[in-house]
Amino acid sequence: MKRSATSYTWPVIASVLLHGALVALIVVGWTPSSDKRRVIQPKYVEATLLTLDPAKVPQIQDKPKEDKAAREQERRRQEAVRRQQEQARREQQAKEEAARKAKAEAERKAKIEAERKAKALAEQKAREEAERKRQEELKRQQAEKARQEKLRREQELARALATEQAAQDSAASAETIGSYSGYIQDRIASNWSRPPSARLGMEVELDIQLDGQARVISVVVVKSSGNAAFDRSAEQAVRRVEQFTRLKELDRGTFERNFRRFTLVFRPEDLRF
Amino acid sequence: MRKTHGLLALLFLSLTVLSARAELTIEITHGVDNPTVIAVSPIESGQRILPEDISQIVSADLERSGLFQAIDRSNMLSFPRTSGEVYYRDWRVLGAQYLVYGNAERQQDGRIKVTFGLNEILGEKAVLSQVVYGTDGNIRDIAHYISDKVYEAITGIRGAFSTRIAYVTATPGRNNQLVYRLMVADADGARERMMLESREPLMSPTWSPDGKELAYVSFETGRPAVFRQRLNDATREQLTNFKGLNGAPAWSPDGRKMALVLSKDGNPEIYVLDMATRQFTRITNHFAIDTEPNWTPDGKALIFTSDRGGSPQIYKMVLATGAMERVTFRGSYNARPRLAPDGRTLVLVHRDGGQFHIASQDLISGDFRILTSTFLDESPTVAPNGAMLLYATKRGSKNLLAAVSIDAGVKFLLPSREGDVREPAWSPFLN
Repeated sequence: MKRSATSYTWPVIASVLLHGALVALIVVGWTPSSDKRRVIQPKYVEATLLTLDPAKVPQIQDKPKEDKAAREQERRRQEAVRRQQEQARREQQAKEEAARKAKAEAERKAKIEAERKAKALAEQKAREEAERKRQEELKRQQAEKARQEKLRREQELARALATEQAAQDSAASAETIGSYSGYIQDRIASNWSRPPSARLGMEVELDIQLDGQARVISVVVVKSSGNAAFDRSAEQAVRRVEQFTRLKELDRGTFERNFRRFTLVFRPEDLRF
Repeated sequence: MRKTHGLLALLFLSLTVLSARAELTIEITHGVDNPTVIAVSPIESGQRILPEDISQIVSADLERSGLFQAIDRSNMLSFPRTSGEVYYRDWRVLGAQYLVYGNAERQQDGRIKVTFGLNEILGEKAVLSQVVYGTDGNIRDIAHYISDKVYEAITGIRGAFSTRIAYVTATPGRNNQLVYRLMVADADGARERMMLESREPLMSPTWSPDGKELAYVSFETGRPAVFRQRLNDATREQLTNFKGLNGAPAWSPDGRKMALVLSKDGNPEIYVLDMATRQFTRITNHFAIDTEPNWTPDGKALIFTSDRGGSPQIYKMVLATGAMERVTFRGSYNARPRLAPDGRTLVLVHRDGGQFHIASQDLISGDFRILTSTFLDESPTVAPNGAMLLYATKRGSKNLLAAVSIDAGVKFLLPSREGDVREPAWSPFLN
């Protein structure tokens, strides 16, 4: 707005100066160039025109001049008219210019406004877009979250199922292990001849290793009973078995996990004392 | 604080390690106690044949213990003499768990040097390796010595193959009159020696703790009297000469005293004779019969038979205090107690439905079991290693000796001989 205010300043000053100059010229008796048409109308002029238009006062004042003066006056008048016209034209031009400028300004403003509006619109649009995107993102996130949640639940369920299955498996497996442990027990017990020095309360712990075919490959006394004969009887009981044939029925994993290596504790309970 | 953390970390680590170590554990609480299969490779001298077959004696010794089953020599694939010559596969195919091998060498001085060893077949390792010296005259001693060492290595119990047994035989002599003989033989019955011969009954032989003397009851004076007799020179000494019953001598574990039964004061009571002072101390004082005294291994108490409760039962009396307790409660007849060297296994004659059997009772747990199924079993005597007991039994009209392992797993009759065999007494360890 400030810019547009200043833009009016110069045309207004120019216009005022021009008007001032014209008035000064008229006051000092500048005679316009003669006007031929004015010559035939001197009589009439005197009475009325003065009051009609102050602007025509100079004309009335010129009227009484002589021909030459009239011509001169006319010329001046014409000149003034011309100047007036020129002035008007200029004014018009100035006006036009101003209007043009104003228009340009308006246009510029409009343009700016438009631009602003466009920009605002664009911004609005961008905002809306962003919001939309945000909302979309939010939705997507929510969906993702839901999906994740669902996945988590599914996984949880799967895990629970797996655990349950594992529990069932391990129950089955525990049963299997128990049954095959019993088999091992039987095989060893039926081969265990205790020396007469064996006593209740004696205990020897052996570490047994089998090969893939369930053959005994290593028997190591881990914890001695303190009675060499007793320890040896336990060792021999295992060695006499040689191979736990039925362990080969087991699936590989169960065998590897449980029977590839295990501990035997010999603790007689069927002795007299 | 940091230290605590370190400790905690360590603890955690060790716990983790522990849990990681948690592998399958299987407990074996029963066994079958089958005889151990053993092979005894011939132990021979290259230069000259030995007067006796050491390996056969060893095999027989081990088998007689009931804990071993010997592999017949004819089945052996090789006869190793040293550990280096042992091909384990040869013995595995025979099912042998142990192998005894050895080599005999005659030395410059005529003595025999026997190097022997014991290898475990399944574990493929040497268990024992020793040298023993002897002469042509005591090959059996060498063999029993080897048996003892092998038995001890495998069973964890001292072998008793080098011990002896004393017993009484009664054989019809001239005019069908019975002749009584006090005999001593190796534990396997071999090398029988007569210590005393009498036309009057001989009874209750018992060993001195050092194994050098026997005490027994002889009726040679017309009434029962207790005698002691040295084995090496047969010198004897009469210990009692009282009116009435003089019997059932039992040397105290330290050899300084002898418990016996005298009826000089009316009815049979238990006395203790101080061997040095010859003083008798009356131990029991009851109108019922008290008899068959036997020392506890610590020498502090006597176990004996008494019918003070109305029927023959076993009682125990602490000598220092005179405290008495009844030991047996099962059945209406428990007599002739003998304590095994462990001091807790009591063997006795138990009447079960009119049958007399040898039974054992654990003095701590009270566990009671009948060990024999023969008929009219009597006079149990426990081997010094506590693994076996001998007793007299009847087959048909004949008295003979039988053996049973203290856990009743093994029973066998000693080779039958002419006449009746009675009242066995197993010697203490002699070496």
